[in-house]
Amino acid sequence: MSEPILKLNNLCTVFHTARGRFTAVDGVNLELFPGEVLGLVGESGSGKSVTLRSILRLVRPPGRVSGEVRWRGRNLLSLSEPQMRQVRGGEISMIFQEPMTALNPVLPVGEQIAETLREHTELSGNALRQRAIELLELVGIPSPKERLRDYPHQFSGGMRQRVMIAIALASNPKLLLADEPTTALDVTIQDQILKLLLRLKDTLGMSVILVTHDLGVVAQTCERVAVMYAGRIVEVAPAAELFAQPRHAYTLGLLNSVPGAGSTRRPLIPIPGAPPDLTALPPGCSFAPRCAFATDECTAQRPPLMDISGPESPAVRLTACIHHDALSAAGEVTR
Amino acid sequence: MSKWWVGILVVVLGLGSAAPVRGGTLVYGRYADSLFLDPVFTDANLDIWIMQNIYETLIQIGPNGKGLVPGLATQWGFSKDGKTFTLTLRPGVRFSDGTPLTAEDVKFSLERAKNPDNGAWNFLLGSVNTVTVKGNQIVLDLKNPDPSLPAALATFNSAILPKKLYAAAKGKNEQERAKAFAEKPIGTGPFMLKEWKRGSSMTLVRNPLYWRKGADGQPLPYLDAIRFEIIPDDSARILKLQSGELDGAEFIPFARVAELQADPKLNMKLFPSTRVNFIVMNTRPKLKNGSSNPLNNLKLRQALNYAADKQALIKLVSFGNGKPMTSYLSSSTPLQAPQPMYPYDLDKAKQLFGESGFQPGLELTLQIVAGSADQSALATALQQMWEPLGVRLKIEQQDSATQNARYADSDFQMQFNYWTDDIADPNELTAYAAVYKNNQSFQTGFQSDEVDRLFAASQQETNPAQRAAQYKRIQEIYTRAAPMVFLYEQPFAVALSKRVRDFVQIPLGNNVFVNTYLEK
Amino acid sequence: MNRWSYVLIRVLQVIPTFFVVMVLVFAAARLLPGDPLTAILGERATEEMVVKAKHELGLDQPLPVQFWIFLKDFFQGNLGDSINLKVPVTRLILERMPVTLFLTLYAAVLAAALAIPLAFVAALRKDTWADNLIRGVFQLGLSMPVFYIGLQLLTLLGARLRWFPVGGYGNTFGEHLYYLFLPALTLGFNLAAILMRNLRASILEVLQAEYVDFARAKGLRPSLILGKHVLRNALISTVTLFGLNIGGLIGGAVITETVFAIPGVGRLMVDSIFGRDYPVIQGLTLTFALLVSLVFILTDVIHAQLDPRVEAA
Repeated sequence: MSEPILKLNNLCTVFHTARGRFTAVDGVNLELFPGEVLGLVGESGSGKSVTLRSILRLVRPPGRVSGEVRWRGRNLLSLSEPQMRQVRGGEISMIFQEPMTALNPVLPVGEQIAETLREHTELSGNALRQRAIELLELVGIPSPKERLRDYPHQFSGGMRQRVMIAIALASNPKLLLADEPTTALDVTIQDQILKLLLRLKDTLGMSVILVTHDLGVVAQTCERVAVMYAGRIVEVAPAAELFAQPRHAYTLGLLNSVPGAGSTRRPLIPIPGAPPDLTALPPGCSFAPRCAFATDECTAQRPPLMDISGPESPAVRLTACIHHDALSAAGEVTR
Repeated sequence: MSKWWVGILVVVLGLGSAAPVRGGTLVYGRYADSLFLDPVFTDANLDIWIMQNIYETLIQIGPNGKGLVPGLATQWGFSKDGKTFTLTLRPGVRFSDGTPLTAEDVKFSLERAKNPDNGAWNFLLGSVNTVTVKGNQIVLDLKNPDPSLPAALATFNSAILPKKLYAAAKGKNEQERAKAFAEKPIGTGPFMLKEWKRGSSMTLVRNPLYWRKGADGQPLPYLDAIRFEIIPDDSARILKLQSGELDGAEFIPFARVAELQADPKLNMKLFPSTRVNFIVMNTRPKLKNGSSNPLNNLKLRQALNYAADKQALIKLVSFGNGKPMTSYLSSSTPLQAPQPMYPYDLDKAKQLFGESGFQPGLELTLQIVAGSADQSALATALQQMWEPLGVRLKIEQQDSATQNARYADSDFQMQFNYWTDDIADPNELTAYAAVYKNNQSFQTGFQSDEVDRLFAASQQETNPAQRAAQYKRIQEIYTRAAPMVFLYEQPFAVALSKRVRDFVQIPLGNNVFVNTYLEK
Repeated sequence: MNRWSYVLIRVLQVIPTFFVVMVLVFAAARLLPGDPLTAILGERATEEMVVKAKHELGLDQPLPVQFWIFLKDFFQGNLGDSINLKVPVTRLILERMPVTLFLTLYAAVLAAALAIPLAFVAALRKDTWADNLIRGVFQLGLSMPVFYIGLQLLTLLGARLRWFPVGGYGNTFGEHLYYLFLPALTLGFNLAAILMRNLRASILEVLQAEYVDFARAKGLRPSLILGKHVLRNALISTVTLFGLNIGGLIGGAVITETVFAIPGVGRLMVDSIFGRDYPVIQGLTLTFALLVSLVFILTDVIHAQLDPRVEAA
C-alpha cells in the first residue's frame, strides 16, 4: 500500500454567525492516494464543498478551519499566505460547479489561462501563448488559436467547463479538486467531461477528489468513495463494494432512494426526515434520528470511524455505523 | 538753534514721502465685465464707468465729482443770446497712437454722438444744431439756449474719437464700424486698452503720450497699468482683496462694510453717489389688467410714504450706510433742493389712510427682482410697516428681464427701482421721472402741466439762479404728488488696500484712476 | 456588428435630437417675457429706442421667419452675434468653452481619482472605522450645496492658508492646473460621492462572485485579483453612472465659475439668460446638447468595451 499524498486529520470548519455557531466540517479524517479518483458523496449541505475549500483555505470569514491538512509532507493549514498561494493553482487546483459564474465574464479565456501560467510557471510571451493553445487542445476545444480571444459567454456550457479544466490544469497540479463539475451540464455532455477528466488524470498523473451528489457519476468515475453526512465522514469504501454492500445506514438509505439502471423496476424509498440543523447537532450519530436501525447506543456518543476491512475486502473499509452488520442482513441492494 | 532746520528737513522729507509714487500695476476687482467700449453705442454702466480712462471729453467733472473743469477744451462759453457755444481746443494733445488731436476729430465725434440713429444717448446733445470748426475752436450752433450743455459735454457719450482711424475701421454700417473700432480703442485718455479676456480680465496700460501732468511735473498717470479682474461673487471678491491678490474691490455688500472698516490693512471707502432707491407707484386710475387702482388716490400714496420708516430700512439693508432721500434727485445731483419729504409718522399715515376712504385690508402688490436679498428684505420690512395702516402688501418676485419688461409695459402696481445719474445735471433724471411725455414719468403716469412747463423753460434757462428756482418748484410739486415711495440714497462702497492713494469713484459712478498711485 | 458602425449609428441618432433641441431652445428663449434691450437699459429705455433696436436686430419679424434665418445662418456656420457683447457667438464659445471643458474634465478626473481608491478601501474594510469615516465624509459633502463647499475651500485654503489662489484661471497650462484645483475639487466632490457609493456597492457584490473565488483558487495575488478581476467588473455600472452625471457637472460649473471667477461658458449662460441675449442662449444650448450627446455616446462605447457581453444591437 502506497503512502497517501493527502491526509486530512480532524479537519473542522466552523462558522460563527449571528444565528449561531455551525459546524460545516466536523472532524473529517480522509486519505487520498496517488493517481486515484476519490468520490466525496452526500446531500446538499453535507459539507462536501466546504471540505474542498477548506483544503485550499478558500473558506471566507466568519468560517474558521482547524485540524491538519497534510500535503506532500507539509501541513497546509500552517503555511503563510504567500506559500499557500503557490500551492493553489500550482500543486492543487480546483474546478467549480457553474463555469458561467466561475469564469470572469469580462476577460478573454486566453487571458484567464495566461494568468495562471504567469503565476506558476516561468513561461512568457509566445511560449506562454503556445502553452495556452496546447491546453485548450488538450481539453478538446476546436480551433484553439482563435478561441483564445473569445469571452466565456461565447462558449457553450460544456465547452466552458472544458475551459475551466484547462485553466485548472495549466501548471500541472498533482491534485485536482472537482466540486460538482458536471451537475450543471446535461447528461451527454456530462459523460464527455467525466471521460475527459479520467483521461487527463492518467495522462498527467494527477489525483482527483470528485465531489458530487450523483451516485451515477460516482459509479462511472470513482475508485473509492467517501460518504458524508452532516459534516462527518460516515463511510469509506471502494466504489464497487459500496454499491454492492453499503455499511452505513445512511448509505443504504441513499442507494435505496435513487433509481437503479438495472432492468428490474423497483419503487424508490426516500429517507424519512430531513438533514439536521448544523447549529444544533443531535448527540451521538447525527443520522440516528432518521435511522431505522438506531438504538440507544447510537445516540449515547458519537460513533468513531471504524476500520472494518477484513479478509473479504483487501482494500480499506471504514464505517461509522455501529450496526453495519445488521445492514448486510437486511439484504443486498440490487443495482 | 539747530532744531529749526531739523524741523524743516522733517517737513521736506515728509512732503517728499507724500509725493505720489510712480509705477506698479493696480489690480482692481469688478463684479462684472464691460460689454462694449464705444461711447455712443454702449448701454451699460459697466462700460460707462471705466471709459473715461481711455476716452476723454472736452469738459470734465471736477476732482471728487464737483463742478466742471477743463478737459480737452481749455475754455468755453455761451454767446450773449445763449444760442452759440464756443470751445477752445487744448493744444499739443495726441491720441495714444501719436496722431495729434484736431478740431476735426471733435466735430466728427460730436456729430456722431448727437446723431439720433446712433445709440440711446443722443438726446443729451439734442439742442445742438451744427458743429463748425474755426481754427482751434469748435462752434456749436444751438436750436435753443441749453444750460445743461457743458454738463452734456462732460458726459461719456461726448468723448472724442480719432476721425481718420475710426473711418478706417471696417464695417458696412455705423454699428459694425463701432464694433471693429472698439476692439482696439484709441483715445486721448491716461490709459490704453492692452488686453481684454472677456469675462476674466481687462488690462489697461499707461498712455505715455497723455497730456496732463502730475504733481512732479511729469505726465500722468502714475500707475503703469490697471488690471481689472472680474469676480462676480461678492464673498470671493472680498476674500481676494483680503488675501492681497487685489488692491481694490468695488460693490462691497453693505453687510460686510463694518467688518472691512475694522480691517487695519484696508481702507473701506464710502463714496457719495447719485444712486437713489425708490418704489415707483402706478398712479393711473386703472391697472394694465383693467382693475381699478387704489394708488390713484394721492392721500393713500402719501400715507404709504409716511408709514415707511426710512432710517429703519437703511439700517436693515445698508447697515446704516445711506441716508433718506431728500428729493427725487440725489443730494449729489446739482440743483437738488432738499424737501421736507415724509418723515416717519405712523399716526399721520393712519390719519391720511382714513381720509383716503379705503378700508383696512386693502391689498397692494409690489414687484421685486427674484434673488435680490436687499429687495426681499426691504419688501418684507415694508409689508410689516404698512400693516398697521391696514394695507396688506403682496410681494411678487420675477427675474430682472421680466421686471424690466413689465415696467416698460406699465404692467405693475408698485415696483422697486433705482437710478444713478449719467450726467452731472438734474435734467436727465427729471426728464425720466417727472416729465410725462418721455416715458410717462417712470411709467407711473404722473403728469403735471406746471412741471412740464417748468421743465421746458429750465432746459433753456441760462440764468443759474432762475434755473435753480425752477427746479426747486419742480421738486416741491413732485414731492407733494408722491408718485413714488421715497426710500434712500446709498454710497458706492469700495474697499481699497492701504497702499492705494487718490482713487475716486465720482457720484456719477465713473472710476477715476488718473491720479491714483500705489505706495510702496 | 463592429465598433465603428456602432459609433456611426449612435452619432446619426443624435441628429434628430439636435434638431428638436434647436426648435425648443429657440422657442423657449423668445417666450420669456422681456427682450435684450429693456433687459440691459432698464428704466432708461424709451419706447422709440426699443422699437428701433428691435427692428435692427430683426426681433420684430414673425417667429417662423426668425427661426428660418437662424437655421440658414446655422448651416453656414454662423451662430450670429451676441446682442449685449457685440461679438460673434462662435468667438465667445471658442474663447470660453475650453475653460469650462477643462474645469469639467479636471473635476471628473479628480472625482474618479478620489472615488475609486476610497471605494476599494471602504469595501474591503466594510463596517470598520475606515469605511464609516469615508462614507460619512462623502455623505456630508453630498448634503452641502456646491457653492458652500466652494466658499469654504476658498476661505480656508485660499485666503487663510494661502495654499491656493483665490479664484481666477491663470495663464499657462501649469497655472490652469494650479488655479483650477479648488474649483475642480468643489465641482467634482458631489460626483465623487455618488461614484464612491456606487462603486463600493459594486465591489462588494463582485467580491462575492464565484470568479473571485476561482481566481483565488488559481493562487493569484490579491492585488492582481482586485486590480484586474474585481475592478473591471465593478467599474461597469459605475462607468455608466459617471457618463450620465458628467452632464450634471456642466450645470454645477455655472455656480463654481461664479464663485471662483472663472471665465467659462457657465457664467456666460446665466448672464445671457438674464440679459435675454438670444443668439448666445441658442448657441450655448446647442453646444451643450452636442457635448452631452458625445459624452453619452462615449460612455456607451466604453461600456461596451468593458463588458463584452453587451451586444451592440
